[in-house]
Amino acid sequence: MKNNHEPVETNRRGFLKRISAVMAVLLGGGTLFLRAVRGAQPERTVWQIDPLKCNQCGRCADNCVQAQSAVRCVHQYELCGYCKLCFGYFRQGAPSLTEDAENQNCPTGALTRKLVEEPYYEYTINEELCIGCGKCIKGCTAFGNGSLFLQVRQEYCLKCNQCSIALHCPADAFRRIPEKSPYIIKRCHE
Amino acid sequence: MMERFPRPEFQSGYTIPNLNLSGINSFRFEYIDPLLLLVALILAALCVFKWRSRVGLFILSVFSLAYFGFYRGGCICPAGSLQNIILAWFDRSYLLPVTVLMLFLLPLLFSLFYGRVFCGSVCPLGALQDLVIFRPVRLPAWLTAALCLIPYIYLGLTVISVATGSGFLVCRYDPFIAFFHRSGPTTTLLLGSIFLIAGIVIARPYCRFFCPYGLILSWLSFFAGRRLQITPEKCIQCRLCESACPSDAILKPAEGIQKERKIDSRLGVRRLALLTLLLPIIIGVAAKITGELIKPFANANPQVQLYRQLTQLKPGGQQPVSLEIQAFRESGDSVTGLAKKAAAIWRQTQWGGWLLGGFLGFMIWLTLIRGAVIRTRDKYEPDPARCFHCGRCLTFCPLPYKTKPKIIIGTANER
Repeated sequence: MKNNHEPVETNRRGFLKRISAVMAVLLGGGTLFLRAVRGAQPERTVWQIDPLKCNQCGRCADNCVQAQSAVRCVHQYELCGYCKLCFGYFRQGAPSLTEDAENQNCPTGALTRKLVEEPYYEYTINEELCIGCGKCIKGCTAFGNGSLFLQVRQEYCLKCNQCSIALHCPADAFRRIPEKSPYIIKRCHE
Repeated sequence: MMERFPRPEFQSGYTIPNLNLSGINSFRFEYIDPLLLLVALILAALCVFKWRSRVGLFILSVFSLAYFGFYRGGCICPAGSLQNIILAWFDRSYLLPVTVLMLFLLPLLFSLFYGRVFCGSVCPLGALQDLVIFRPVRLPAWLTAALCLIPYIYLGLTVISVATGSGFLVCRYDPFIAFFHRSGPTTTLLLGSIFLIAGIVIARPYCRFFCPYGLILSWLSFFAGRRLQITPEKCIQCRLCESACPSDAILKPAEGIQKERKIDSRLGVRRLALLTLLLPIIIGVAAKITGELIKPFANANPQVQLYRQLTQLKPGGQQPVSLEIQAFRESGDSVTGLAKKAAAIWRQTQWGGWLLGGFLGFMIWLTLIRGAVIRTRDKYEPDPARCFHCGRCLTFCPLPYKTKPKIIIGTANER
């Protein structure tokens, strides 16, 4: 027996215990390992919203663990109609079609517009102000082209193992997707 | 999807901007984390077994709290990675990242050889609780034994929850995650505060009575080759280590117990035989009870809940419907498909409940049996399953360890 600082169990019982433990671990761990790792890849998965499932309920703004949700609105310009009367920009029942805050859907003023040429306006989202409430998207999807949609912005997302928003999404719109292509973008069908 | 308004033809030469979404952090922390975890585990094992330094373990736990806890946000932690492994087992579409697998395996591997060195100074949750132990109180043995059943229930519920797609329970009810992220829901902040305040008087409440990963670590550490020895040779039974341990993890030598309780060996054998006969009854009863109690858990699954809401709706369509039902109707999925999914989840949860109950029954039986087992321990030593390797007992043992000559096992001659 080699010299040790601490006496280790050297009798038969201890040896058998250890051997059976190692065997059990190798067997159990081995099957677990092989089954779980069959297509293992080094990339982590990230959370993302499927814009076709999302129903703009507004829970994204409330359920993120961060104070300002990592979910923000994005604008697919190629789908946009550039309308003067934008249903995403103006809220239903707006008293007038001017750029006053009372007429807008957006509670934080994140959705702004700029005249391109009459009667077309370019609508832009200021991401720092957007809270992901989905009000503009609701109008755009219901009456417009649906060029506005919600996405989890990976630079703000903490990438929690269990996304708190995903737990509360009524439309089950959250998926884990590979980190390599972390966005599900609406595209033109042409 | 048809566009209601056609794309404009711009005369002024305006070009439609591209939607450019990038924003992935270029520095890949998830490769560094398993590496640092390995380094921390090696340092912890060295501090416990070679240097026997409580100071070293303390510094290591501060570093672990700072890096794994506050800097990396305590996520993904090895405790949570357990759920990813289970998800990879049950859900074929989920591919397990290798880094997460490493986070899961490394502490287990070290536990198999060195005991729960992860818990003592590497786990950020453990480190946080360890730092607030100011006035630890000894709990009565029956209370500790009862509370120690909770991790089994929690582990079982976690497995069932992941298998049925009900979400990650360990992450959802992690009490300290709001501190690590410096933001979070009010309920999580409250829960964390309760755990920390309780932790001042009850050492490591989450580690001892809740952590499901710690449960697996304790099973493996039971088989560890290197057991922590407080004294190198004849224990003088001063019991300083026993009072130093805040987690009440030091086991008494056999003579101490026998003197206290005057155990008659014949009584012990009879009790053992009776308990062995009762084993199937205990397992059966526990399985039945847990099978019943698991039903509200099955109802909490979102698919099951949605199906129940849909079937309870009156056909008039007058009452306001929940967002979930609205979303379901808009999605165009069939109710029969949902019914099949809900039934499958219900079945899985029921089976999970019976298995968990049987397992719990077995663990209760094992706890009862401990009273009837003959012990041969002759010194105070830490319980390998419950010792977190925090090193407090090492500082209190009065026998000077480092100056002792090397001990040769098995020979009586001195050289």
